[in-house]
Amino acid sequence: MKRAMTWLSVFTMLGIAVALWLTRPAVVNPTRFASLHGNATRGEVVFWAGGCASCHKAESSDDDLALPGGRRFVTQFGNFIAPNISSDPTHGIGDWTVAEFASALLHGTSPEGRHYYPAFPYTSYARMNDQDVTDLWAFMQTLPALPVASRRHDLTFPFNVRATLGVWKFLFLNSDWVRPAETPELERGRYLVEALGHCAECHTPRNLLGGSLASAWMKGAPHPAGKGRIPGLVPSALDWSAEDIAYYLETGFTPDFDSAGGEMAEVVATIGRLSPEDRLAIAHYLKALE
Amino acid sequence: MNFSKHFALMVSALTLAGAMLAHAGGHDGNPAANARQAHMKLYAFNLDVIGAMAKGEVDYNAEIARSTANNLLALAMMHQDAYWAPGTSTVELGNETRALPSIWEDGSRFGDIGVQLIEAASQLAEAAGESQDAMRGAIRGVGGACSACHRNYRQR
Repeated sequence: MKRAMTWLSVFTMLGIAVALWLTRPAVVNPTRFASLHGNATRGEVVFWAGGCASCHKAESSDDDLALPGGRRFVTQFGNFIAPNISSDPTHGIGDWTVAEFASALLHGTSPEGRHYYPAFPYTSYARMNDQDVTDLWAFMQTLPALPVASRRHDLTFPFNVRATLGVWKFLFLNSDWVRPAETPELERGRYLVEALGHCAECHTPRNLLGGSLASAWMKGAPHPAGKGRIPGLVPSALDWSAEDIAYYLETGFTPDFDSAGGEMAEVVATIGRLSPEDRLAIAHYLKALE
Repeated sequence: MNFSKHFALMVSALTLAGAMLAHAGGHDGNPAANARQAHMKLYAFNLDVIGAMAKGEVDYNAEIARSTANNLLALAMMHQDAYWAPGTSTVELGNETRALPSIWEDGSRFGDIGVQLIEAASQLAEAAGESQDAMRGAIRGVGGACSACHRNYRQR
């Protein structure tokens, strides 16, 4: 009996070790990015489409180019606190390599080789193309360095154990497109919605582990902070015309001439800087869903 | 007193009663919250006129665009202190309002955003009569001011 227990614990330990090894944080191969040249001007478009500032600017700041982090996001798993992603070499991401930046966006892995929490929407950014990653990196290096220390997330057990995120990623991280896109415009719209804009991160409900519910993709979700509801974006939930959607993303005004509030006000502040063609591509893609 | 006189009296009495009832109805709820919501409706009506032209749903008309933008500027510049009275937030009025108490707390940027709206509305008033493109460009500033306030001070 004692012997059986010993073997059982050995196998359990081995099993955990194998699981941890199989779900260890993934990184990109640096040679993949070595030959790419970043263009900061194109990177600025990626930056606005990606909405980086919405989460990483300071609380109640209007400066979308100052990214010291510090904003708190209340969820059922605890509070996430956005880190400093300014170009500061100590507190921000100034001393990263482009490959480290790519590993963060595409695999949710930090330069220290740890898993990031999916509050950082790498589940969407995983669909980014390499050139956009490189261009975004070029642009973000031009942003001001802010010597502000990042704060630790304040999470409940077991969510505060980062190693469990490997299993989470195995279950929920998938860089395939969710929906088909038949024309170049719909492809662009899909890229803006499913990859950069990461719309589904809020507009899709999550399961108990925080993974997106594929069956209810973009159909609206309860607000993670408890009060209110995030509306659905599929045509059965949103009957606005494509022009209405594009105008809303530009100005914040709904077809009833109410204006965006809540977190969506931040989204309009960044998506509103894209070209009219990009906003219309988003709108046409949303109208083509289902 | 003949029949027609009788009838006329009755009609005027009923009209008066109806008017008084309507008057009382208009005073349902908190007057400050009602005034704020009425003010918002006037913004929305004028934004609808401008927005329809911006989206191309109706033809752009410089004169209508200019006068409508001037309405928005006039609304933004109205003195509203009385109807943003302290003690009229969601805490005191519940579902009658979506105005969060943080409007009246220390460090509130509510007043600054009001100034931001006046500036954006001034730019729209200048641009609206120029061209459809100039008008559309300036609407985003107004929308930004609206959202800045709704982002922080309106209940979701």
